[in-house]
Amino acid sequence: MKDILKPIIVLALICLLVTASLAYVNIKTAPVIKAAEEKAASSARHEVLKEAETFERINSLKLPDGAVEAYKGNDESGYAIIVKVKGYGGDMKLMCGIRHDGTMEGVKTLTHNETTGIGSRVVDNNSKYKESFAGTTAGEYRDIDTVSGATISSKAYKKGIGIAFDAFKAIREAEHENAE
Amino acid sequence: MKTLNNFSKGIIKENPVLVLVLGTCPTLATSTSVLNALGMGAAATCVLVFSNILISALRNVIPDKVRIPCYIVLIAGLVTAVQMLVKAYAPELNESLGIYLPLIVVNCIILGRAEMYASKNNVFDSAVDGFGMGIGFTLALFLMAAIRETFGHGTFCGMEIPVLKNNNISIMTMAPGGFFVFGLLIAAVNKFSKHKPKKNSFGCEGCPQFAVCAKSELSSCNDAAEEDE
Amino acid sequence: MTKLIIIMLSAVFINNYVLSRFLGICPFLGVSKKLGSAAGMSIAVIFVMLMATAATYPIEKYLLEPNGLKYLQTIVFILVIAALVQLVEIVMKKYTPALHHSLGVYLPLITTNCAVLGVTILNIDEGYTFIEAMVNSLGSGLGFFLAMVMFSGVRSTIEGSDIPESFKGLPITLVAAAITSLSFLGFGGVIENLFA
Repeated sequence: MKDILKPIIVLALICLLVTASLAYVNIKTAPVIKAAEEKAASSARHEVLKEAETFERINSLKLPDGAVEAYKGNDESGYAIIVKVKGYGGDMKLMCGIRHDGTMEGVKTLTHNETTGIGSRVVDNNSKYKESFAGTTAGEYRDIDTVSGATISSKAYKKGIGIAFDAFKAIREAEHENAE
Repeated sequence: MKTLNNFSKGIIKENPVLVLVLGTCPTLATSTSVLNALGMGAAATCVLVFSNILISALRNVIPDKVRIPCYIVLIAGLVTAVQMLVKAYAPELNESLGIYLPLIVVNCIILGRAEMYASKNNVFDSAVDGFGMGIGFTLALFLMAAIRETFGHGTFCGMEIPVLKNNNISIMTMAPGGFFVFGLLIAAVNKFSKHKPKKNSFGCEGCPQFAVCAKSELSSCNDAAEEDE
Repeated sequence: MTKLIIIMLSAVFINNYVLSRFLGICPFLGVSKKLGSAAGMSIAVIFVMLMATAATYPIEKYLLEPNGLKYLQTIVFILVIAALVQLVEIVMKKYTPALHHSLGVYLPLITTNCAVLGVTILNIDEGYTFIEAMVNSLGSGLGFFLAMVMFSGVRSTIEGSDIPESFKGLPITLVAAAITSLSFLGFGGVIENLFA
């Protein structure tokens, strides 16, 4: 009997102790993790919209499907819009910075699951494809070619940018209505 | 002197990656850039040192029958703690290591050292052994990553290298490049080490499941053991 | 339906666990010497991957996530997998000794196979539904099978060749693995364009 009980008790005790100490570490690190995520998000916003100094989240209107969050920069600098689209390997999240006049300033990939070496040529944050969208407007971005061999990834990327422009349009219209 | 030997054996003579050929998965996967490799090495070393200390301290308490589950729980707990700390203080590293960070749990080096060393030796020796092995692992990762990043991206630690930047061989950072560079490194170790290239068939002795699978007749590890002779 | 097919095909060919994600390298190098053991090992892996996903997915969704215990994911998953493998082995030994004789020996090896823990964690990370997660696990297992079987063929060819002294054994195996994985890169564009 003792031979059976002892291993069970020891194993259960170890499990209990490990879980307890993990809970402690979690309580200690959870706020830091949250702050770090917050900081990463705000630095991503600054990266795609350099002129803006502060951002304010837009909660007042319903964004088009695919747009997750939208932020308005101070002094009519523009908008930072987070979109989520289905890529090839799963969801990709993009942060798009659109200036007040409707031109895209920059795009940043927040998360993606594209294949290394194939889809990653599209979504990598130093890819040439990404740069080709800088300075485009809602009318122009469609003309940019897809990357050969990574059609699904590039189409998804373009779709995400389209959604960002739609969201931009929706936000601007709502603002005009409020102004009138 | 003994301590020094104990420490340095992990780096050269019994290098876990290049000589014992353990922990191949993270070695191949995270050696695409030098910074990733160093991050992975540091995380694994941290887990290795603490798991060796804990397991050695508890070696007389843990019953033989449930020792593997106990080790796994302790290691998984440490890995989770490291994961939370990385998330909190180095979020970029968490992003780039991704799935390989929680997978330190199943890194053969850690369970292997627990079973082969920490469960038989005192706390201090185990800590030194863990540290040496961790440094050896990091060093091997660093070597792989240095080669792959220099030729694949034309950069080193993110800094551009003039000529290579525009003539990079991107296959080096992709999967085939990983296998290739690893193969070349082990061949180089064979060439320059005094030992006969005998140990380089797949090292089953270090595998934590070796005892279990050596018992079964059909065992694949027996095949590997035969290969050794 | 198309989505399921894409998940399946990309798990087998493009994001192949062994050749492009580098998970489960240990058995890939250790057990691929003979076709028989390579096939046996990979069938056991497919089986455990499916079982592990079926067990861990509900635990994550109904136990860990609602209670804010997501941080216990790694530790819970590895324990569930270890317990599951033990249980399967015991049941197999008792009721299907023949099957145990041919597959059972590989089971203990699988507990510490990072491909199994990897697939369960990735299923959660990718936000798959239960069906998608199961399809992904099956695909990943089949991808492992394909890589193992193909590679055992490659290795039997190496066996008879004249190899430079320092490349004998593992180095030449790794170089061969590099070439095998190179061939899988070609699938990338094919499947993307099939459904484009």
